Amino acid sequence: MNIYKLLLLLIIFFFPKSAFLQNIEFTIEDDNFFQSKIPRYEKWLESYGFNQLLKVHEIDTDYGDTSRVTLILKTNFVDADTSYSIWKEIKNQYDRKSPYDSLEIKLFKHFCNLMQIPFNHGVIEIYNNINQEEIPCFNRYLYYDDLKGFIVDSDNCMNIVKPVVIDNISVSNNRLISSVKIENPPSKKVTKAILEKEIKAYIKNYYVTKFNVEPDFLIPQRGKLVKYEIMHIKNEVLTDESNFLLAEWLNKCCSKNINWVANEFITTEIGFELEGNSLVIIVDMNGKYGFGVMKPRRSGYMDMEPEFEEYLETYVEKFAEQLKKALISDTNE
Amino acid sequence: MNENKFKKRVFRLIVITKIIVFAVLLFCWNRRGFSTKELCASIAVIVPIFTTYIGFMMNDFLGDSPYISEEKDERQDRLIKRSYVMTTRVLIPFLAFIITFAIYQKVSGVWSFELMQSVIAGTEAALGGYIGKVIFSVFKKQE
Repeated sequence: MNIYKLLLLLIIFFFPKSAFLQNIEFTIEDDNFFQSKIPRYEKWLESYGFNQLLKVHEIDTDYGDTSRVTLILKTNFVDADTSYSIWKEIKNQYDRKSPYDSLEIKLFKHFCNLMQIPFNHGVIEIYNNINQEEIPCFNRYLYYDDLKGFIVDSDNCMNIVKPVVIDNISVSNNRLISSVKIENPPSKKVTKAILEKEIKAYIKNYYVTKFNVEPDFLIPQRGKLVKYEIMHIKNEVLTDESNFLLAEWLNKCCSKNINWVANEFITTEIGFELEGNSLVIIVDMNGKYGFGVMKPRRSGYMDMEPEFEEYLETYVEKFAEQLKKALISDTNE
Repeated sequence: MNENKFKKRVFRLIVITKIIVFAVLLFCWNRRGFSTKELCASIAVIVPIFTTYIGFMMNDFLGDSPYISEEKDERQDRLIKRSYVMTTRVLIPFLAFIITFAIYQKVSGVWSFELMQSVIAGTEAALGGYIGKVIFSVFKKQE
C-alpha cells in the first residue's frame, strides 16, 4: 500500500463523524422560539400579497430523532377549486416577477431562514381543509431532500373539478410592509393633510440630518399619503457594510475621504387606516443596492431581496417605529 | 522571437489578463456592483475558455514526463511569425479590456446584466477563435 492510500484511509477512519452529519434535536425552548416567529411569517406573507390565499394554521415541532419543524398553512377558502385557482394565479404572478426562486421555494426558504433551521429540518404543508376529509382538495408539501434538493409534492386528492376565474389578485416580489398602531390620537391629528405634512417633515428632517440629502417626494398612489425616494445613501439599510480595505488605508495615510460602501436606493410609500380609535400607519418599502465606488444610475441598482431581505425587514420595522415616535411626540408638544 | 519565449509570453499574458478580469469582477461584487448569483454567472462565462487554454498550455509545459528530453531542446530554435506575436500582443489585452469595459458599464447601470453577459460571451467567442488558433497551433496537442 502506498503512502497516499494509507493517508486516505486514515482520513476516512479518523475524520470526525460530526463533520459529515448534522444532528439536531429540538427542545421546548426551540418550539417556543418557532411559535414566537409566527407573527413575523404572517407579516411577511402579507407584504408579498400571499396572504390573499395563505394564513398560518400552526407550527408543529417533532422532537427526538426526526427533529422536524412543520409549518402548516391553510388557504383562506375551503373550496378546493377556488384555492387551486388563486394558488395558480399567485404562483404565475410571482414566478414571472422573480428571477431567482419559485413561489414554493420562496415560502420554504423564508420559513427556514426565519426559524434558523437547516433546510432538511423544515417542512411546509398547505391545505384547503385541515381535516382532509373532502375530495376534491388542494394541498402542497414542501420539503428538502439532501440528494434531490427542494421537493414540491401534492396528494392524489387534487382532483380539481372546475377552474375559478380570479380577479384582483396582486403579488409583489420586492417590497416589505410594516405597520404601527397609534392608540387614541387627537382628532385634529387624523386628517390627511396634517398627517401628510408631519410625515413629510419627519422624513425630510431625518435624511437631511443623517445624509445631508433631501428625499424626492413623488405623487403617491390613490389612498396613500406620502411617497418618496432617496438615492445614493450608504449604511442605512445594509448596516453591516464596511469600507474597502484600500480605501480605509488611503483615508488613514493620506487624509482622504473615500467611501466605497454600497450605495442604497429606497422607495417608500406611507399610508394610513383608522381602526376604531387607533390610527394605523402603513409603511411599504422597496430597497435596492448598487456599486459603492461610484453613483450608479437608477437602472444600476438591484433589489435587496432575496440577498438582503432580513436587513430590509429590520429597517422597515425600525423606520415605522421611529415614525410612530415622531408622530406621538408631535402630538404631545 | 523563438518558440519557447513566445509560449511563455502568451501563457503569462493570458494568465495576467484573466487574473485582472477576475480581480475586477470580485472587486465589483465585493463593492456590491453584482449580486452573488450574477458573479457566479459571469465567472461561468469566462472560466470555460480560460481553462481550455490553460489546460492546453499546461499540458505542453509539463509534458507527459517530468524529465527533460532532447526533443524539447530542438524545438527552442524554431522562430515564430511576427503576425502571431502581434496578434497575441493585441488581442489578449483587447479581450481583457472589452470584458472590463462591459463590467464597468453594468455596475454603473448603463448596461443590464444580460447585455454584459452577452457582450462578454460574444467577445470571448469571437476573439477566442483567433487566440485559440495561436494557442492550438503553437502549444503541443495532447497525444
